[in-house]
Amino acid sequence: MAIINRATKELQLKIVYYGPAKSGKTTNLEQVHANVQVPDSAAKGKMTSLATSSDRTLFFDFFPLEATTIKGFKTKFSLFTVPGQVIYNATRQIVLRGVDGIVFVADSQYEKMGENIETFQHMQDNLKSLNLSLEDIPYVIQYNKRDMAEIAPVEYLEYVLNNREVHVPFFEASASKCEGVFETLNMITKLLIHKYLNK
Amino acid sequence: MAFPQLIAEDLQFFDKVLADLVKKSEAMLTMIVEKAGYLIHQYGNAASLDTTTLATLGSNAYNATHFMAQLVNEHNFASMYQQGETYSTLILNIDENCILVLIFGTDQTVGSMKYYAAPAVRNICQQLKVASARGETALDLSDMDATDIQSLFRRS
Repeated sequence: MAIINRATKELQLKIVYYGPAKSGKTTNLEQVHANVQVPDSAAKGKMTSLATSSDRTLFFDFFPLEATTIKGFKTKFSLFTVPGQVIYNATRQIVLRGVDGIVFVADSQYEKMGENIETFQHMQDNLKSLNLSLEDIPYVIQYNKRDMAEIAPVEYLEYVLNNREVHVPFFEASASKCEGVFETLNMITKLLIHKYLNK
Repeated sequence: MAFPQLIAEDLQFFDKVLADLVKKSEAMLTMIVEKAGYLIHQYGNAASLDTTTLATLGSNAYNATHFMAQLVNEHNFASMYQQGETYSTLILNIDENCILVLIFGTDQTVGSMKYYAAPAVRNICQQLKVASARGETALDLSDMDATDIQSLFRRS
């Protein structure tokens, strides 16, 4: 649910990185935070991670990021991750509240295919519990960990995860090397802006 | 119901209400926060604080505790309080979309915060209803150059 503040001429949008455990959601945010070009330091907020003692996401990772002003409106994106572990499903629902766009970070490894499918289904269920639906929310899919051994071909991943009425943009990525990270972010931000262009 | 679009008049009203609240309650900082984590307005001494992060953490903490309350069939959930050694935090529900966050020194009591915040919550809630009734105006981005948004973010 975007916030439009006409008084301050700001448009605020929330993007959530969703996916199975250890698929690279936090790594995506860390790479954006570390490598994004910003006009000034105020355009990029501090990254906050609520993690367990073993560095697994407990609640969420978050940081705010400003884009260049579009038609006089300062566009601010809040980037979040959800915890990947199934036991934290309740907190995933909380983080999804008010989401505007989603990046589904899938793990390309064959052995993770079941988790990818299950997590995608959980995401749809969680959105439904918030009276939201993937039909209304722009989303993209990132096939991460393309640098690992034993990875499924993209065609197979597409068949398994992107085989719906509306075929969404997808990206191959190796988030740990910052490959595919910015392409993914730029596509979801573009889809979000277009949503407003087309209103 | 979605969070309404705000105009200058709304922010002036919020500023006045929060200023009055800070003056009477002696809270250090007050913030109106949308429940998805957006900071809508703030008033008080925020000099050394990252209020964007505070707002996000506050809203998610509130949502998590609300969720927890529902799991034990407690449906009357309107506030949460974190007692600190130097500063404490009180979060109050404004409406379905919004909360009020107060950060105050431990020389103040949570009771007095609740007392002074109650009319502020009512007034903010009323103004949000006024903003909602005003309706939404579509953003006029129609003549925007689509190439401007091909790559909003670049790698350094």
